[in-house]
Amino acid sequence: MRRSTLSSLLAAALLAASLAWAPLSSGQEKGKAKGKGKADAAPAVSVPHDPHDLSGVWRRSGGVLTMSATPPAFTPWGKAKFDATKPVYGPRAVQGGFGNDPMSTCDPLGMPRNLFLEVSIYNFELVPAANRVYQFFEWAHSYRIIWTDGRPLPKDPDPRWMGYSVGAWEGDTFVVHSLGFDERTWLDHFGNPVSDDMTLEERYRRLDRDTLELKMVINAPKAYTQPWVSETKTLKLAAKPDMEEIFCVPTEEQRFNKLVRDPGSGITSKQ
Amino acid sequence: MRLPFKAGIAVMGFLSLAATLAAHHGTSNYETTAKTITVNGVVTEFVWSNPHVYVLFDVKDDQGKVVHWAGEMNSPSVLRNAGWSKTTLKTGDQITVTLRPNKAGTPVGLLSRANMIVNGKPLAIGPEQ
Repeated sequence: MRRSTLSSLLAAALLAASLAWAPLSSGQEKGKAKGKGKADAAPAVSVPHDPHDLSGVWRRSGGVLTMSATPPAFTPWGKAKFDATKPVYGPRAVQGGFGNDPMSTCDPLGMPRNLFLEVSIYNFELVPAANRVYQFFEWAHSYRIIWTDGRPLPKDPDPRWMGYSVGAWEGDTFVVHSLGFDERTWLDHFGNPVSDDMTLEERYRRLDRDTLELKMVINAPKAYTQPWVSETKTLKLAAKPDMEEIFCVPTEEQRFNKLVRDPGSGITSKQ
Repeated sequence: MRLPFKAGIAVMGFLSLAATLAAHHGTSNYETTAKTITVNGVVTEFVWSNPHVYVLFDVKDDQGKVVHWAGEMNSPSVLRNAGWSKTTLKTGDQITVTLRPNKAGTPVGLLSRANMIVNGKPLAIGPEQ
């Protein structure tokens, strides 16, 4: 009897220990949240973590949906580009059918806009691999590669939606430098401009198992008169590790615009 | 087409309980005032797609004229958490829905988080984001 009780206690202790040292993926599954958003709170208990392991599905936790509350002053080129945008969010918001946000036609969001996770229920995942880190964005089912093999950034590259990125550790901070962006993107859903001379620095730090900090700086002298330093972004480990298949499908979007968005804006002539 | 606010459409004065959608196109089309409307109609199509789910339905005005309505809903993942699936609504279902009307006055609205009534039975739409 005593032996049986002792065995039970030992088994319970082993189970508790195994849960406490469960790997990252188990931590995400432990939340058992059915979905996302508020139900997707990460486990509250802090457990040991490897600060050099950024892997996980990360969700936005507060913050503004751009670099910081106030952008630097525009250059004349930046101002003209900004004025040509018709956002459907923020103080200049127009009705949906009159907007020209590239997102509403399923164009790629690009960078740094993808990092803002503006559609709050969609996350990003960091997946370290040999000589690179993959960053998967749930929105539009897209990804970028951050090279960690020591290669230099390309000189005078062709513009790309996601740019070109290299990353390296500086202590416990993973620092990513990027350039070569396509200036057809908007920097955020407020219509702030991206220029093809823009460079982006991202600094990721895993504060604990459940918390990832991200600080960014962009330099885009063609569009802004000064560098734009972001607020400190906080991301939380998503309880549910699944990333859904959230393609932005042009044909579906066109039909939605025709049946819902445009008539909801009073536009009936578009076909 | 302008929205005929006639019989069959009750303008509700209570505070809107409309869901805050994570809509990627924004909700700037819709009224932000404390105004919702409730309409009765028959489902003609239920579109279960990312990132928008929407329902198309026909509403008869007081003269018997059919008005084609569209109701925008949350994303499939949010609705799934509320127990919905792509077959929750079917063509021919009789529905009563509460919507935030749009500013243009056309028969398109944003479904509120208030219950929908489907064939006489209440059905929860799901939580706010």
